[in-house]
Amino acid sequence: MSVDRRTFLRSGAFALGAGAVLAACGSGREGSTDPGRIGVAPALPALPDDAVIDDAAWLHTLQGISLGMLALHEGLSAKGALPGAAAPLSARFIADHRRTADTLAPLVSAAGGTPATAPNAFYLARAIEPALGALDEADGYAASDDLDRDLATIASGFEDWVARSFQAAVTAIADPATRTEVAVLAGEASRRSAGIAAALSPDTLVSPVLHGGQAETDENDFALIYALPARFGQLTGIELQIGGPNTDGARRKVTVNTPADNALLSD
Amino acid sequence: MTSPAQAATADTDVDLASESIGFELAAAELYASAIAAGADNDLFATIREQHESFAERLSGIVGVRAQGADAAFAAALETGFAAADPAAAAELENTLAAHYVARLAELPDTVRGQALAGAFAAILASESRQAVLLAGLAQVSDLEAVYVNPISEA
Repeated sequence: MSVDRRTFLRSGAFALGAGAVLAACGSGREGSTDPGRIGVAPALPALPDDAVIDDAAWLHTLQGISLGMLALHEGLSAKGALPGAAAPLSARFIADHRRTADTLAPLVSAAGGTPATAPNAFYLARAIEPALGALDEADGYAASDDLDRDLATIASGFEDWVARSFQAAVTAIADPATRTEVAVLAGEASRRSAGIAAALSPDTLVSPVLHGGQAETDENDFALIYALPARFGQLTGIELQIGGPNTDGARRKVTVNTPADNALLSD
Repeated sequence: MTSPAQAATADTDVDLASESIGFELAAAELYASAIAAGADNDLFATIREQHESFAERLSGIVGVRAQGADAAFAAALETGFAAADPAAAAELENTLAAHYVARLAELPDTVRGQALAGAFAAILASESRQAVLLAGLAQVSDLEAVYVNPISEA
């Protein structure tokens, strides 16, 4: 069937109109009424006009990410031990994230910044807390129906995010000596990401992507975990599906992105 | 092994890329030698392809054709690979990862230098992952040797 441009535009207009009607249905699910705002996610903080994203901002953010991982692992431990061979890695990785934050502190100072003493507020509010919260019953969603699966998803997903964030920083850092120090930490972050993935999913070490295929999901659309997920280290965001379903069968999704302006300028 | 890698121009970034291409092709040849010697290991085959791809990406950025594997770089590990020893393979990945860490600071602040920095960082990430998988295959039990690169200079 061919569709001419006029028909296509008309159907698009219908879709937009239907979306508005559907969005207005139900109670307690109203989106923002601010101009240009869609959905219910909290608005991004406004960027200051005079902000500068320099080495200090990047190093401060990496430190905040490392401290955030301490909060993440603490939250995971409160729910239970990581499954299988990954359980002994928790203590090792917590020590590694703390050491990374300590290593970064003097680099932040040397770059003219103030070392972080707490998790990056942007990621804490938008990634870490939502991911841990998705394990519990809330907002019409059931509590986790497979805690081992969800703990594995969160732990591997966030270690992968840290690896990607440090990789991104390697090219963003301008000072050559500092770049070298961050590259060492980036390599270690990739090692942790591979190690926990291999421990959690030893039967899927290499993604089919490396052989021209596609990354796979299980019967409930949960992404399989790969220790070698792509040919090159990746910089893109990661969408994690976590927790039990709602009455429609949908599950909560949390996206973790590598640092951009809002995260870099967050405390 | 074939002839050593040679830089096509005197440009710093081209020199660094050419050196790295020679190393990556040498690594691919080492894995090929292990497979030819009878290594029945899918991971070795996958990582051999990885190193070929790393060389291709670097070659594409600087516009220099690969001049061949760096025989001197590979020589020390030939015996281990001939025996399909995963510990030798882990050592190779650690050496390459340390190489990129060291070279990242030497890249010029140019468009091409930045492109190479992105590639070096992306390859460093993959080779660090590969080192962990091979350490597992070699049954390395010392976590410090797995999660911190034991090779600091290359």
